[in-house]
Amino acid sequence: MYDESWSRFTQTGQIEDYLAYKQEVREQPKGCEARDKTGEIRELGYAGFCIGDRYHN
Amino acid sequence: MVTGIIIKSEPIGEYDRRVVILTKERGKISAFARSSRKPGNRLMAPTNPFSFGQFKLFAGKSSYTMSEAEISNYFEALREDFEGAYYGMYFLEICDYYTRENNDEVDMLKLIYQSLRALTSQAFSHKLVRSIFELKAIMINGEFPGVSQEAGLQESAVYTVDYIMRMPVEKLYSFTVSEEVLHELRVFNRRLCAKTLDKNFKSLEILENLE
Repeated sequence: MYDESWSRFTQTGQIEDYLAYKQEVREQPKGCEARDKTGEIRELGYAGFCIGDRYHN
Repeated sequence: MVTGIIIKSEPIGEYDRRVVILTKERGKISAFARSSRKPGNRLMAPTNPFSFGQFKLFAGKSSYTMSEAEISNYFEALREDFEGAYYGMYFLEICDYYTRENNDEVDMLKLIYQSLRALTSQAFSHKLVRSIFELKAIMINGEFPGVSQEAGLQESAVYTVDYIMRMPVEKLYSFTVSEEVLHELRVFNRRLCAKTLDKNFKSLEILENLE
Protein backbone atom coordinates (compact mmCIF):
# COMPACT_ATOMS: atom_id res chain seq x y z
CA MET A 1 0.00 0.00 0.00
CA TYR A 2 1.26 3.43 -0.78
CA ASP A 3 0.48 4.63 2.79
CA GLU A 4 3.33 2.43 3.92
CA SER A 5 5.75 3.92 1.41
CA TRP A 6 4.63 7.45 2.33
CA SER A 7 5.29 6.61 5.96
CA ARG A 8 8.77 5.32 5.05
CA PHE A 9 9.54 8.59 3.25
CA THR A 10 8.47 10.73 6.22
CA GLN A 11 10.69 8.61 8.45
CA THR A 12 13.84 8.62 6.30
CA GLY A 13 13.42 11.91 4.43
CA GLN A 14 15.25 10.30 1.51
CA ILE A 15 14.39 11.45 -1.98
CA GLU A 16 14.57 7.82 -3.20
CA ASP A 17 11.76 6.92 -0.81
CA TYR A 18 9.63 9.78 -2.13
CA LEU A 19 10.18 8.56 -5.68
CA ALA A 20 9.29 5.04 -4.61
CA TYR A 21 6.09 6.38 -3.05
CA LYS A 22 5.16 8.26 -6.25
CA GLN A 23 5.84 5.13 -8.29
CA GLU A 24 3.50 3.11 -6.08
CA VAL A 25 0.79 5.75 -6.42
CA ARG A 26 1.10 5.60 -10.22
CA GLU A 27 0.75 1.83 -10.10
CA GLN A 28 -2.45 1.94 -7.98
CA PRO A 29 -5.54 1.01 -10.00
CA LYS A 30 -7.63 4.14 -10.52
CA GLY A 31 -11.09 5.02 -9.42
CA CYS A 32 -12.20 2.26 -7.10
CA GLU A 33 -11.13 3.45 -3.66
CA ALA A 34 -12.67 5.69 -1.05
CA ARG A 35 -11.11 6.78 2.22
CA ASP A 36 -13.52 7.42 4.99
CA LYS A 37 -12.92 9.31 8.23
CA THR A 38 -11.64 6.27 10.11
CA GLY A 39 -8.88 5.84 7.54
CA GLU A 40 -10.15 2.57 6.23
CA ILE A 41 -9.73 2.25 2.52
CA ARG A 42 -12.73 0.52 1.14
CA GLU A 43 -12.19 -1.09 -2.17
CA LEU A 44 -15.49 -0.67 -3.80
CA GLY A 45 -14.66 -3.01 -6.58
CA TYR A 46 -12.11 -5.32 -8.03
CA ALA A 47 -10.27 -5.29 -11.33
CA GLY A 48 -12.10 -2.19 -12.56
CA PHE A 49 -15.62 -2.96 -11.37
CA CYS A 50 -17.17 -0.38 -9.07
CA ILE A 51 -20.23 -1.73 -7.35
CA GLY A 52 -20.99 1.20 -5.02
CA ASP A 53 -22.59 -0.16 -1.85
CA ARG A 54 -21.38 -3.72 -2.04
CA TYR A 55 -18.77 -3.46 0.74
CA HIS A 56 -20.50 -1.00 3.02
CA ASN A 57 -21.54 -2.27 6.48
CA MET B 1 -10.04 10.34 23.40
CA VAL B 2 -7.44 12.96 22.45
CA THR B 3 -7.22 15.54 19.70
CA GLY B 4 -3.88 15.86 18.03
CA ILE B 5 -1.55 15.33 15.13
CA ILE B 6 0.88 12.50 14.37
CA ILE B 7 4.38 14.01 14.43
CA LYS B 8 6.34 10.76 14.17
CA SER B 9 5.66 7.24 13.09
CA GLU B 10 8.00 4.25 13.02
CA PRO B 11 7.51 0.60 12.19
CA ILE B 12 7.79 -1.89 15.03
CA GLY B 13 8.02 -5.61 14.39
CA GLU B 14 6.22 -7.08 11.43
CA TYR B 15 2.93 -5.15 11.49
CA ASP B 16 2.89 -2.60 14.32
CA ARG B 17 3.69 1.08 14.52
CA ARG B 18 4.84 3.34 17.30
CA VAL B 19 3.57 6.88 16.87
CA VAL B 20 4.18 10.15 18.61
CA ILE B 21 1.13 12.39 18.86
CA LEU B 22 1.12 16.05 19.79
CA THR B 23 -2.16 16.37 21.66
CA LYS B 24 -4.34 19.15 22.96
CA GLU B 25 -4.97 17.34 26.23
CA ARG B 26 -1.71 15.63 27.20
CA GLY B 27 1.12 17.27 25.33
CA LYS B 28 3.37 14.94 23.36
CA ILE B 29 2.65 11.25 23.91
CA SER B 30 3.70 7.90 22.47
CA ALA B 31 1.26 5.25 21.41
CA PHE B 32 1.36 1.83 19.81
CA ALA B 33 -0.91 0.99 16.94
CA ARG B 34 -0.98 -2.79 16.75
CA SER B 35 -1.32 -4.42 13.33
CA SER B 36 -1.60 -0.98 11.72
CA ARG B 37 0.77 -1.98 8.92
CA LYS B 38 -1.34 -4.92 7.85
CA PRO B 39 -2.86 -4.20 4.43
CA GLY B 40 -6.34 -2.74 4.78
CA ASN B 41 -6.02 -2.09 8.49
CA ARG B 42 -8.09 0.93 9.47
CA LEU B 43 -5.22 2.45 11.44
CA MET B 44 -2.75 2.39 8.56
CA ALA B 45 -3.55 5.85 7.19
CA PRO B 46 -4.34 7.59 10.51
CA THR B 47 -0.93 6.64 11.92
CA ASN B 48 0.99 8.46 9.19
CA PRO B 49 2.67 11.76 10.03
CA PHE B 50 0.51 14.84 9.41
CA SER B 51 -2.73 13.01 10.28
CA PHE B 52 -4.80 15.36 12.41
CA GLY B 53 -7.92 14.30 14.26
CA GLN B 54 -9.16 12.42 17.26
CA PHE B 55 -7.47 9.32 18.62
CA LYS B 56 -8.90 6.81 21.04
CA LEU B 57 -6.17 5.54 23.34
CA PHE B 58 -5.87 3.05 26.17
CA ALA B 59 -3.23 3.77 28.82
CA GLY B 60 -0.60 1.10 29.40
CA LYS B 61 2.32 1.02 31.86
CA SER B 62 4.69 3.25 29.91
CA SER B 63 2.74 4.19 26.81
CA TYR B 64 -0.66 4.22 25.18
CA THR B 65 -2.29 1.86 22.71
CA MET B 66 -4.39 3.30 19.92
CA SER B 67 -7.66 1.57 19.20
CA GLU B 68 -9.46 4.01 16.91
CA ALA B 69 -8.89 7.20 15.03
CA GLU B 70 -11.08 9.71 13.27
CA ILE B 71 -9.03 11.96 11.03
CA SER B 72 -10.34 15.35 9.96
CA ASN B 73 -7.28 16.37 7.94
CA TYR B 74 -4.60 14.18 6.37
CA PHE B 75 -2.90 17.14 4.68
CA GLU B 76 -2.74 14.97 1.62
CA ALA B 77 -1.79 17.93 -0.56
CA LEU B 78 1.71 17.63 0.94
CA ARG B 79 2.10 14.26 -0.76
CA GLU B 80 1.92 16.03 -4.13
CA ASP B 81 4.24 18.84 -3.11
CA PHE B 82 7.73 17.47 -2.65
CA GLU B 83 9.15 20.70 -1.26
CA GLY B 84 6.09 21.33 0.91
CA ALA B 85 6.49 17.85 2.40
CA TYR B 86 10.03 18.68 3.54
CA TYR B 87 8.88 21.93 5.11
CA GLY B 88 6.13 20.02 6.89
CA MET B 89 8.58 17.39 8.14
CA TYR B 90 10.88 20.14 9.40
CA PHE B 91 7.99 21.69 11.33
CA LEU B 92 7.16 18.29 12.83
CA GLU B 93 10.78 17.90 13.92
CA ILE B 94 10.67 21.25 15.68
CA CYS B 95 7.43 20.21 17.40
CA ASP B 96 9.13 17.03 18.55
CA TYR B 97 12.11 19.03 19.79
CA TYR B 98 10.10 21.49 21.86
CA THR B 99 7.13 19.60 23.24
CA ARG B 100 6.86 17.35 26.28
CA GLU B 101 4.38 14.92 27.79
CA ASN B 102 1.79 16.39 30.16
CA ASN B 103 2.72 19.93 29.15
CA ASP B 104 0.18 22.37 27.82
CA GLU B 105 1.14 22.28 24.14
CA VAL B 106 -2.08 23.71 22.72
CA ASP B 107 -0.29 26.65 21.15
CA MET B 108 2.26 24.42 19.42
CA LEU B 109 -0.54 22.19 18.17
CA LYS B 110 -2.39 25.20 16.78
CA LEU B 111 0.84 26.49 15.24
CA ILE B 112 1.67 23.25 13.44
CA TYR B 113 -1.91 22.89 12.22
CA GLN B 114 -2.16 26.45 10.88
CA SER B 115 1.31 26.24 9.37
CA LEU B 116 0.56 23.01 7.51
CA ARG B 117 -2.61 24.63 6.19
CA ALA B 118 -0.58 27.63 5.06
CA LEU B 119 1.89 25.31 3.31
CA THR B 120 -0.91 23.70 1.34
CA SER B 121 -2.49 27.03 0.46
CA GLN B 122 -1.41 28.97 -2.63
CA ALA B 123 -1.51 32.25 -0.71
CA PHE B 124 1.85 31.94 1.08
CA SER B 125 5.33 31.10 -0.08
CA HIS B 126 6.92 28.16 1.72
CA LYS B 127 9.80 30.38 2.77
CA LEU B 128 7.45 32.83 4.49
CA VAL B 129 5.60 30.02 6.26
CA ARG B 130 8.92 28.64 7.46
CA SER B 131 10.04 32.04 8.78
CA ILE B 132 6.77 32.54 10.63
CA PHE B 133 6.76 29.02 12.05
CA GLU B 134 10.34 29.16 13.32
CA LEU B 135 9.90 32.53 14.97
CA LYS B 136 6.56 31.73 16.55
CA ALA B 137 7.74 28.34 17.83
CA ILE B 138 10.72 29.99 19.52
CA MET B 139 8.43 32.68 20.97
CA ILE B 140 5.83 30.21 22.25
CA ASN B 141 8.57 28.33 24.07
CA GLY B 142 9.87 31.44 25.76
CA GLU B 143 13.24 31.54 24.02
CA PHE B 144 12.89 34.68 21.92
CA PRO B 145 15.41 37.31 23.05
CA GLY B 146 13.85 40.20 21.13
CA VAL B 147 15.29 42.22 18.27
CA SER B 148 18.52 43.97 19.16
CA GLN B 149 20.05 46.98 17.39
CA GLU B 150 22.94 44.78 16.25
CA ALA B 151 20.55 42.69 14.18
CA GLY B 152 20.42 45.67 11.80
CA LEU B 153 16.90 44.95 10.62
CA GLN B 154 15.05 47.59 8.66
CA GLU B 155 11.82 48.97 10.11
CA SER B 156 9.41 46.77 8.16
CA ALA B 157 11.27 43.61 9.21
CA VAL B 158 11.16 44.71 12.86
CA TYR B 159 7.45 45.39 12.49
CA THR B 160 6.96 41.93 11.00
CA VAL B 161 8.75 40.24 13.88
CA ASP B 162 6.70 42.26 16.34
CA TYR B 163 3.50 41.34 14.49
CA ILE B 164 4.35 37.64 14.67
CA MET B 165 4.96 38.01 18.39
CA ARG B 166 1.69 39.84 19.11
CA MET B 167 -0.69 37.84 16.95
CA PRO B 168 -2.48 34.76 18.30
CA VAL B 169 -1.68 31.68 16.27
CA GLU B 170 -5.13 31.61 14.68
CA LYS B 171 -4.52 35.00 13.03
CA LEU B 172 -0.86 34.50 12.20
CA TYR B 173 -1.20 33.69 8.50
CA SER B 174 -2.88 36.89 7.51
CA PHE B 175 -0.10 38.90 5.89
CA THR B 176 2.60 38.79 3.35
CA VAL B 177 5.88 40.70 2.97
CA SER B 178 8.12 41.94 0.20
CA GLU B 179 11.02 39.80 -1.05
CA GLU B 180 13.42 42.20 0.67
CA VAL B 181 11.76 41.86 4.08
CA LEU B 182 11.48 38.10 3.64
CA HIS B 183 15.19 37.90 2.91
CA GLU B 184 16.01 39.90 6.07
CA LEU B 185 13.67 37.75 8.11
CA ARG B 186 15.35 34.58 6.84
CA VAL B 187 18.83 35.84 7.68
CA PHE B 188 17.62 36.92 11.13
CA ASN B 189 15.97 33.55 11.68
CA ARG B 190 19.05 31.62 10.56
CA ARG B 191 21.13 33.32 13.24
CA LEU B 192 18.40 33.00 15.87
CA CYS B 193 17.83 29.29 15.19
CA ALA B 194 21.58 28.57 15.24
CA LYS B 195 21.78 30.17 18.69
CA THR B 196 18.54 28.79 20.10
CA LEU B 197 17.88 25.33 18.65
CA ASP B 198 20.70 23.03 19.63
CA LYS B 199 19.86 20.18 17.33
CA ASN B 200 20.53 19.24 13.73
CA PHE B 201 17.22 18.72 12.00
CA LYS B 202 17.41 16.01 9.35
CA SER B 203 14.84 17.57 7.04
CA LEU B 204 16.45 21.00 7.32
CA GLU B 205 19.65 19.75 5.70
CA ILE B 206 17.69 18.68 2.64
CA LEU B 207 15.54 21.84 2.73
CA GLU B 208 18.59 24.09 2.66
CA ASN B 209 19.71 22.31 -0.52
CA LEU B 210 16.26 22.67 -2.06
CA GLU B 211 16.07 26.36 -1.23
